[in-house]
Amino acid sequence: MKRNRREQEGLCDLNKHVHAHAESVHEEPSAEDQALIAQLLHGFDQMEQAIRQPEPPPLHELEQLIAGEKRKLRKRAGLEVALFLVIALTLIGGNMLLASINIVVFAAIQGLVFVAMIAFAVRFFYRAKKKVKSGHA
Amino acid sequence: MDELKQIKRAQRGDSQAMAQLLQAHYSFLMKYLIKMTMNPALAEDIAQETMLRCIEKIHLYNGKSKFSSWLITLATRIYIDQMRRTKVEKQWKNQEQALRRTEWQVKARLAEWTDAMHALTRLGYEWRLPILLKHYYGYAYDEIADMMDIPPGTVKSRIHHGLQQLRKELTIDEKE
Repeated sequence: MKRNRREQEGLCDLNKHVHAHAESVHEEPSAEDQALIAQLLHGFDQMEQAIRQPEPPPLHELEQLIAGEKRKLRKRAGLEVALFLVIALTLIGGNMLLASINIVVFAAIQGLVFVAMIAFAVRFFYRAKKKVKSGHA
Repeated sequence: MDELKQIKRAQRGDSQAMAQLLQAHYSFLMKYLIKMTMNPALAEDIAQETMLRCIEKIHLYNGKSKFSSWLITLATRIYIDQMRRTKVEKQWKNQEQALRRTEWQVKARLAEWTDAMHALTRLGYEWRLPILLKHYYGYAYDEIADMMDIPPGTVKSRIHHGLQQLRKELTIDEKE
C-alpha cells in the first residue's frame, strides 16, 4: 500500500513533472523545488520506515464498532424524524388555528415569511457567487 | 474485484464486509495520517473518527475514485475540521510535543530527520497537506481540491507558497 497511487499508477510527481509537457510552465517545479521535494520524499520514506507498522484492530472489535455506530445512527435518524414531525405538526397546527381565528393576520404572516425567504435565498446566492470569484473555500 | 464486492456488501449493510474493508485499509490510513499530522496519537484519533464516518457514509461511495482515496478524503476533511476547531495556542503546544516524540522515534531507528522535514513540521497544515498529497501520494490538483474542499487554483498556490516558505525556513536554519 506504500505510496498508494504513486506506485500503483506510476504517478510519481517528479517524473510526472518531467514528462507531462501539457502542464504549463508555471506548474513546472524549479530545480530548487525539485531538490527540496526530493528531500521531503526522502524524509517521508524515512518516517514510513521508522514508525512501526500500525496494527489493524481485530475483526471482532471492528464488527462491534460497526454495530455500535449503526445503533447510534438509527437512534439519531429516529430522533430527527420525530423532531421533524413535531415541528411540522406544530407549524401546520398553528397556521390552521391562526387562519381560522383571523385570516388577515394569517395572510400577512405568510407574505412576510415568503419575502424573508426570497431575501435570504438571494443573499445566499450572492454570497456563494462572491466566494467562488474570490477563490476562497 | 474482491474489494468492489466487499464495498457493495458493506453498502447493503453487511457488517462483516465493512469490518474487513476497514481492517484491510487501516495500516494505509494510519501511515497517511501519521505523515499528515506528524502526531501518532492524533493520527489514531482521526483514524477512529474516519472509520466511524466511513460506516455512516459508505452508501455515498460511488466508485469514481479508489476506496483508499475516498478514505483519505474523509480523513483529510476530519483533520481540517479538527484543526479549525482547536485553538491555535493549544494546537501549537500539542503539535510541539508530538513532533518531539515523532522526531525521537525516527532518530531512534537510526533514520535521518532531514532539515526539510523539520521545516515541514513548522509549516501550517493548509500548506503541508497539499504538498504531501501532491508530491508524496501523487494526486492531481483537482483531486486534492476535492479532498480539501477548496478550488484547484488555491491548491496550486498553496503548494507553490508552501515550497517557497519551506525554502525560506531552510535558509534561516542554515544561517543559524
